[in-house]
Amino acid sequence: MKSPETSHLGSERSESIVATSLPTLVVGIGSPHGDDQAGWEVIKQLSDRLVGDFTFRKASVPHDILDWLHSELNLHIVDASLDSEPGVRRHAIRQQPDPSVQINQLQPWSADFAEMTFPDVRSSSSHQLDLLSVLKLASILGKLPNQFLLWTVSIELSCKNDGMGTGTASRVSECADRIANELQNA
Amino acid sequence: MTGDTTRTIQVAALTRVEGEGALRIYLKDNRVTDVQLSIYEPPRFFEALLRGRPLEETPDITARICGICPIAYQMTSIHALEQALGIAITPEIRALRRLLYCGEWIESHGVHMHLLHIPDFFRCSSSIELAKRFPKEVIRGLRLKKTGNRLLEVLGGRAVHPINAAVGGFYRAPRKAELHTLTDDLKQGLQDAIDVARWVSSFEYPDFDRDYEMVAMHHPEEYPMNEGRIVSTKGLDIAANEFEQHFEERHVAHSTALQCMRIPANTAYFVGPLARVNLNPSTLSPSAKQLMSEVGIEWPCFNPYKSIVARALEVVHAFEEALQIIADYQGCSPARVSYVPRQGEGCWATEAPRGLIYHRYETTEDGKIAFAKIVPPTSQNQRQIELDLADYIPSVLGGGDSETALACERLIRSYDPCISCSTHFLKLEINRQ
Repeated sequence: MKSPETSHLGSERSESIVATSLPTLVVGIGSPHGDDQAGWEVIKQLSDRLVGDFTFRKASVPHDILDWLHSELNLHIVDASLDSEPGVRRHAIRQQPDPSVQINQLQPWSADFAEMTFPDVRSSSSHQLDLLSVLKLASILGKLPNQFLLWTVSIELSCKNDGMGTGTASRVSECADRIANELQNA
Repeated sequence: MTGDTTRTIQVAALTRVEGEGALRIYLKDNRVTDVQLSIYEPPRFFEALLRGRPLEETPDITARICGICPIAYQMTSIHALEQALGIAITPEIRALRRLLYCGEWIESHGVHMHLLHIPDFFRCSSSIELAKRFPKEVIRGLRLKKTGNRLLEVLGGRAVHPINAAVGGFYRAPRKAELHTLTDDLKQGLQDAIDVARWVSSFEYPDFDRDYEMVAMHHPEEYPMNEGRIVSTKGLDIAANEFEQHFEERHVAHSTALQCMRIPANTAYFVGPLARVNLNPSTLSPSAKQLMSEVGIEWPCFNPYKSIVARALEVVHAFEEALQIIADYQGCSPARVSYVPRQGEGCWATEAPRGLIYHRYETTEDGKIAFAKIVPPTSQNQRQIELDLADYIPSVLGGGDSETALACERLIRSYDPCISCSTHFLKLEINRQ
């Protein structure tokens, strides 16, 4: 197992923040609609492919995650994102040791940290519980691992009652490959 | 102030409610001239979507109306279709359906109380702020939600938009051992729920008693979930198939959701946990009934803010009934009653976490949906919320528009509106003249 101090160096494999002694939970956030299926589809592909002590869960809304979180987890969260550039992004995140620092000021952990800004605005999502709010709540309640990975799959559209676009489907496979690689090689 | 002045206060997006909507308040010389609860989500056309589809698809499609209370939608559709098809279910299936309702009430009430509503009583802007002050209580609330979701998973196949309920019963009945794995968590949940009920009953409530007509289902032998007559605090007592003779949905220009009114008087009414508790105190579970007398509220209660106490009592009831159903469960065979499709019509009412829900369907000879009508709880409460606000707003106008907006949101949240069901929540606009 790599120490947190050295694991941020080198390739994705070597910079894994996964601690092998901890149970692994991979959560895909999504819906049955169009490209928004991305998170769920990653979970489907991983659960079809990987056997072992991994837990894969689909979440319809971010607060579903609260049922499954605790601080001692190798946690991967997968969600669709609207990015200016298409791609799969791996955000290695750790909570700040200073409890006064809020999680919306999440700092880069790994060398290839993809710049990500959580919007600091009054959320109008259902129940005012978007992913950031859920992560903040989990952090305050001591249910959030000190470090975890957030994977974002860029999507183009999200039409109700529609399948995924080919670009998104391709990125979903790439994301599943990369997560599988990390889990198998951790 | 000289001359007439007009003012509009607008909450552009209501928060901590399920869905999206806006509130516009029109004032003339600080007198409220109009209040419009505007649900601006696009109409979702579920009723039209169902037409022409196989009736077997209806439970899974209607469950998609809401991620928080899918059971109420799918179960009401199932009951209505069973009536249309002349299906009589077994007592075992009926008990499992009540168990499914228990799971949904626990999950939905748990989320609403701890993540949406309780922050208001401590002037917290969010559950995150509440969690900083009351971490143990929020963790307890999340535990309730988790147990409710587990129950839904075991019985419904998955927690969100369950897929196991079918016309005639269940696609698969749970094994006795599967249900028994839930017992320890349900026992813990019952104790948690009792503690929550005592906690919320200690809150300070605004003095706002109203002359409501409260409407709920009523069953002589059981707390109303999926069967009963429709009764009110003003003497209504009808069968569910008389609903449309006494209630009518209407379009209003400022909202994409329909508003349901009592006819012929065209009056607003109130549905939800407070109405249920007021109209059904004798069939609450023993612990809930005991707490009802302990919490220091005079029943029947007509203060909408105290809905949270009724909600907490119902969670206690749901845990207690769930434990009883599981203790009594000896299996369920057949899991589903067979039927032959036929031309018919059926309607039914059940109690969603947020209140009465009514469905009516017509089926074709080859088993398709010819007509669907769905009346969700929030469309029934919508007009009453507007009337409440019109009376309440003058008392909160002194603190500036943002304070007024906040006070309005608190009142609205006491109803636990589910706006995505009725089409989502809140933008406030105050028009002052």
